[in-house]
Amino acid sequence: MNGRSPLTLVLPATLWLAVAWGWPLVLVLSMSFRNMDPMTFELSGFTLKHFREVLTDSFYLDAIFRSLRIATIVTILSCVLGYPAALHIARTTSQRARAAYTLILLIPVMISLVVTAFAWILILGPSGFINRALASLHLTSEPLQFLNSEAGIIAVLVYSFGPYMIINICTALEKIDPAILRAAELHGANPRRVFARVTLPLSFPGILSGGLIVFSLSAAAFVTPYVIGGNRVKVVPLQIYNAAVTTFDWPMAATLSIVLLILSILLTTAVARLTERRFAAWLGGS
Amino acid sequence: MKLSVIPLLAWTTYAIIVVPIIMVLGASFTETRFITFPPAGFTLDWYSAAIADRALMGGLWLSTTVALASVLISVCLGTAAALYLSRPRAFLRGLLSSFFLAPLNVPSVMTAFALLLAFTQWHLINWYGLVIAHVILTLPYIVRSVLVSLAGQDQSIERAAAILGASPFRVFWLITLPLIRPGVLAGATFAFLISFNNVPVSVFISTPGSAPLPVVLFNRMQWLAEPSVAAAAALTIVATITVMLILEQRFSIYRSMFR
Amino acid sequence: MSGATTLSLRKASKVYAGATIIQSIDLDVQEGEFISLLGPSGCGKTTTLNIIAGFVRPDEGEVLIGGQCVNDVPPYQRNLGMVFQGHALFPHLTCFDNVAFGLRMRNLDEATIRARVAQALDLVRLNGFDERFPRQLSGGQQQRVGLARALVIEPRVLLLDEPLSNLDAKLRRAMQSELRAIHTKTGTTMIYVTHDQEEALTLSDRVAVMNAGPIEQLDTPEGIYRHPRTRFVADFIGSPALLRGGGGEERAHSILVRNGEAGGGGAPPAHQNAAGCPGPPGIRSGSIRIDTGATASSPELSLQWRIVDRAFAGSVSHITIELTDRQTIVVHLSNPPDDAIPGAAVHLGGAVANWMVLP
Repeated sequence: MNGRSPLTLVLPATLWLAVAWGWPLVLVLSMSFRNMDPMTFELSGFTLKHFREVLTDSFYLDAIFRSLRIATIVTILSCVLGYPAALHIARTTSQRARAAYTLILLIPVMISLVVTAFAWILILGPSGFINRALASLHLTSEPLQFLNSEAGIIAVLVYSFGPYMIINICTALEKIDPAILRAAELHGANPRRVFARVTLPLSFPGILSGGLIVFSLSAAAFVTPYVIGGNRVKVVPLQIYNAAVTTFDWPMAATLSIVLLILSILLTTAVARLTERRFAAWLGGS
Repeated sequence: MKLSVIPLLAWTTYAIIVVPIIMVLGASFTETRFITFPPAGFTLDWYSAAIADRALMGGLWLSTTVALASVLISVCLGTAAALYLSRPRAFLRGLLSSFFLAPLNVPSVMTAFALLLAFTQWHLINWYGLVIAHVILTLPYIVRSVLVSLAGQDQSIERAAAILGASPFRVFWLITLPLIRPGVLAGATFAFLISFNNVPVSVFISTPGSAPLPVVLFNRMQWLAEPSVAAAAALTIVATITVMLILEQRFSIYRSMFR
Repeated sequence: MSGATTLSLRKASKVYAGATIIQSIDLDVQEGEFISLLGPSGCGKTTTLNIIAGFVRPDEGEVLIGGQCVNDVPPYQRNLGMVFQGHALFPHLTCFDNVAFGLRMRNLDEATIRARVAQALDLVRLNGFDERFPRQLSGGQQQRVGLARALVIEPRVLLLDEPLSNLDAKLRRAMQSELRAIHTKTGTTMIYVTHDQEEALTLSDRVAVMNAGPIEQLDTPEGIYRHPRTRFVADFIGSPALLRGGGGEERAHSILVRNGEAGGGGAPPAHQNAAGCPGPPGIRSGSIRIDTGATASSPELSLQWRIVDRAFAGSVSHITIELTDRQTIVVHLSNPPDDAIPGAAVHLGGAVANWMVLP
């Protein structure tokens, strides 16, 4: 109307977030520089030893690389495995069908991570569906270990977070002007080439935005690695969980959190910045 | 266009999504004392066991009350914030928008740990702490949802009301609010699911004695419990999918959520 | 200050993002008058309207309603009416409730409201549409409900922001005459914003031509058309065929000199433009006559050039003619001679009285 609403409208929400969330995050930051007695929870001093440990001890470095590796693989798999579904939905004209497909896609997103993990244990476990099927077909003599392995974690993370990628790609595909595709066809490109040279590149913003979401979520996931990996596959979020709730090494938990956050932000902004510059010209500011 | 490879792959994707769900549902009916799929036999015993299980039912009650309370608060805070942010010339508009969406960009385990730190200090490891935490979790979704709803509105409608004599409050109450109500409801329902099914944050700040349902299930995963866990999981799945269907039926939410 | 001035703008200016939208606008609207703000997109006409309504605050200057400065009065207290380009009806309310809205804001009793709403709907010829919702109405009907809603409160001034531009041509013309009839009937002061000059000229008592700055010209429709006071107004209104000279001799009375062509007659009128200087002559393309004979058949038709294009557009044909200096002008004629085809030589000219001296 005349351009402004009273500040009082936004104040309550801002205060709530700042006090209940912002301030605790500051506490985490400060905790990462302190020493803490695990018995008495007393804080003392200022130290950088936690950061030093995280960045030099192979225990933590391994976990960092593992987290990043898992997140990268999950992102790539989400994109490759999810692209067909995205294409399919984008090409479906019936609104009701699209709604139905999207609804199905949203199921992994909406149901609890625990329930998802539980369902996949039923499939991947030693006495789970896959193993029993393989055994009854006499293809294996003993059960394959999908659980307690990176592979199992990756599979379930792709299941849980892949839909974000699919939906983002789908949105990007829908923004492509069909006239462009028709023009390509008219110029002699067969469907495969139209896809490779027109559709795929133009869908890149969707892949990018979906990828950033999937990557961040996968890097930060601890429920799935805990349940599927049995707390044995060491990723950073699990270490945070263990430090926080089992060993009460809160400064370390704090340090690991900060490192995770920084890595997450750094990688996502770097990728976003690099690719945006490269593609900005011919994408024309999507 | 491309051959029917695409629809085939797509349907495979949908099938892969749905199969685990069916397995959980199926496993909950088994007559065996361990979880297995396909189920051996058919019985509803595990459902009655689940209902009789005090921890599970306590968790269900807790999850529901926390979700209801936090969504209620979130809707009030978030709608007001979205109203403010929808004005193009609002003070600190960009910064505040990013701030409200920030919880989505911070690793959930970090938020969880931060709340653990703070709430331990403030003696908030209880129902109230859970509600406060879940407001944080749901606020971004509400703000985004209401903003989308407001953006879809014609600005001249509010101006028309004003020029006809309605004060800013009356414009909001009589015109804006009724028009964004579907968007608010959709966002609220979605937020309810988010809160109800949340694991990471709830795991960190619940007590052993009183935990939300997903946390109870989380704790039981270690012993890969009896099918009553499957029954409880099946119930949450059914509840979630039902709510999603209602949302889609009445509000077509998928359109507004991921823009 | 005569009491007949309902609304005034005094030196109103607005700058946005470094660009001047309007500058030093002075406008006095008389009671019962129908005045149009006319100009191309971006000329500031809608901004001016929004300043009058109170949605935008002028950087400088004042808005006076009934002689009183209302700069600090919010829109909902200015007692104005407004009709919007996109009808802006409340989608969740019936037509009745839409029209009744303003009356309810004024806390009138239900009986009065019912009577006045009925009256208003009758005025726009939509009796019986009470219970319908906006989405059930056609574009024209929606706009009429918007009109009823704005008029029912008996506003001091009715503001109309390009209300007809979303309607198709035929409907627009029908609504224009309805609007004129309603204006005559109610005598409400109306300020009308449009980019369509025909609309402005047809409907208004006075027209203010705007071009992102001060008002270019404020005059009756005839004054705007026949005696444009600035180059912009001349260009914008009526698409004249301006015979722009290549500068040089300002002997406006002699086209000969300016175009270096031999020929006689067709002298522009003796009056000068507003600045008192002789300017280049121009003539509305509607007043141009052409003659495809080998020699000019009358002294008025003195300029000979070549036709390069002819396009049929229903009621008129657009004849493009190339002048010596490679410029083209387009003449719109309703019944051009059959031999006025590309390649033909043609004489151009027009009655002396129709020539204008441009600023």
